[in-house]
Amino acid sequence: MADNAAAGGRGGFRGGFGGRGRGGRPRGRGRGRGRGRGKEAEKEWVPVTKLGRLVRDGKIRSLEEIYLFSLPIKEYEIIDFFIGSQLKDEVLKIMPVQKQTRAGQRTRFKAFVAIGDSNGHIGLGVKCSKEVATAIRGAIILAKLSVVPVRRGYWGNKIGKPHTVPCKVTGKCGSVLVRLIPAPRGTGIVSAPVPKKLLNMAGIEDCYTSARGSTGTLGNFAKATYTAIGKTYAYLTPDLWKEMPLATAPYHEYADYLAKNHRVVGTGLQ
Amino acid sequence: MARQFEPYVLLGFADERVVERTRSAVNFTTNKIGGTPDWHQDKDLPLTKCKLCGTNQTLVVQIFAPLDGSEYLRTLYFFACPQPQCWNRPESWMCIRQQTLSQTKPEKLSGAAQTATISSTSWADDADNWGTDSDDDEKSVPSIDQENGNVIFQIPQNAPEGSDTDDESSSVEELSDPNANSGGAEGAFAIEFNSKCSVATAEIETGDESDIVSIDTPTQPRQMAEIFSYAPLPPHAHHEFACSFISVAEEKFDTQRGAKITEHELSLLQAYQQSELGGGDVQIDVRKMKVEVAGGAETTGEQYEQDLPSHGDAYAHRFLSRLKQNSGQVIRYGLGADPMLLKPLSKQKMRCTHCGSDLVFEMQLMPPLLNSLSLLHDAERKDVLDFGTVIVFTCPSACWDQRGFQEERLVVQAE
Repeated sequence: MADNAAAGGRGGFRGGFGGRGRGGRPRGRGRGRGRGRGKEAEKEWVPVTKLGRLVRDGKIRSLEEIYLFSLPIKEYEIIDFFIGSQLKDEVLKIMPVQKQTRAGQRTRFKAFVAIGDSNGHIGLGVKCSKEVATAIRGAIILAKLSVVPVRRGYWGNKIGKPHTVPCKVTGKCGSVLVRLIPAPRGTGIVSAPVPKKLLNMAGIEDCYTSARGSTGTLGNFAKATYTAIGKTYAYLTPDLWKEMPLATAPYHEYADYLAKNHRVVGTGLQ
Repeated sequence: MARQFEPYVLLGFADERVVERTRSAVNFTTNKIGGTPDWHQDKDLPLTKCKLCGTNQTLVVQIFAPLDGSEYLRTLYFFACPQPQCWNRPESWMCIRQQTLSQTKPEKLSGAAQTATISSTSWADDADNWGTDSDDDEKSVPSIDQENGNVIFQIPQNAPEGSDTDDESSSVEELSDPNANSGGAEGAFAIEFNSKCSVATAEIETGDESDIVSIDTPTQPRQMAEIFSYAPLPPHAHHEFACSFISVAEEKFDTQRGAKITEHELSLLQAYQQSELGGGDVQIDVRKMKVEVAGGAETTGEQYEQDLPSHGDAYAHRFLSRLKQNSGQVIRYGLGADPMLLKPLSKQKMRCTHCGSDLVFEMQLMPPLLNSLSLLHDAERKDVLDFGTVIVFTCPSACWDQRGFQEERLVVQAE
């Protein structure tokens, strides 16, 4: 325990702060922590945002509560906490992209990763990086941050579980326009490979699709499909016409957090 | 995306709690979270009040940060108002800098004389110390032979031995405690707990603050939803956070990690290789852990893309990604470095109110600090403070006036 006789010259120190050039001798007599580097730190999640703290403390019971109040999810561990075990990710494409610099061309890798639990959640992440591994890792994180809920409905009779999109929805990105059309049970997904993967991960079993534009640009194609799937919950269908009482915030105490968010969007007290 | 960062960015991590046993190690040179401020030379400065609601502010962190090349012992104290309606507002925070000239060198000689006289009460303890058993800790323990045969061991503290070349070595060890030299065992104990300065800091309890002003009403909340926020604290009480130490390490980025592929990624790549979408492009060499991707940009028409997360806040994303590389950090200290921002700072130059020189970034408080804060008298209360980051800009020349303390400029950024 009398570890550093030299460091014994400082009062109460486990290393010290100081001006530049000062020895911030990286010693800690604390609990032998891994300092956030290495594998052991990755298992324990130290929340950094307010929402993260609420989630970790168990104040928020499900991911749907976060979606209900449109709270921005800034930490991907929140998604991991709720549905991490059911999430499956898949690389849609890795391609090199080049940037012209004075010293020639610089190649980076762009990775598209789609993530979903095949039961109502889908996310898509795109990341460019110098190394393939970093690109994939970054894309997985961005995909988790972009997870949205998927609304499923029926084509005809409301028997059994919802299996298709509730209505015709369309998403656009760049020149690509993707249209999702409800299909009867048993049809399967009738589409090109890229939207097919996404729709599978979203948990949509039957769907007709129609695409227009330069679908060869995989990025735009995937993003257009993702947007279309995300719009399923934005669409007001007749069965939602009934007036529902405004749900109070799960815990009134956290309403101030909502106030901050709505301020960002610009609603506030108008 | 790896930038070149300033070489000396130090990170503080929350360490163990301060318990009775280690309380004596806490003085104005300790880095700590919570507790009561340990002022220099025990000058008790009046408690600061929140400018918004008038509640007493609570000490959040105390950082001992002497400047390079200066003899001053400099400590920064961060105070915040714990009332929920004052969170995230810059007016409810205050940073106070206090410094004293390290006077231990000249004091040592006079102090020795003092301790010599005072130790006459404990001469019996030292009488049997013939100087053999206290030499184990240091190379040689300077001792003073008194005329009556007492041998008084000065716990080595200062530059004369040359073991510590840092300025800090000349700082802490004020042997103002008359019993500080009572035996080598005490010295070893002190070295072990790094407490040469064994001045017991008094815990300031509410008894002293009986004449505190009573606040009539908190300030008007700005938005309706804030009425439903957390329960406000009683304004007249003295609130204190539970005290813990801070350990310090250098900021390091694991650049090696980027090159290595984890198993999960490898399996993803292998699945990709077999899929219809990307079969031919990827060549994976498992042994060398290398991946080669064919295909040119001309065929696909894809361009380099900035990665923007779907919540749209690029600043927050960058802040959080960088924070997660050294997760758990509560303090980021980098004099002259660039602060990590949650929102862009205003362009106007900040100037010291006292001497007019340009302020420079010194350190910032990071969100994981909130996980370590809890009220001392109300441990059940989960949320005691909130901020995104608190950045302090200090005067580079550490200017000084007669008041005994100086306020530093703070920027509080909400999440």
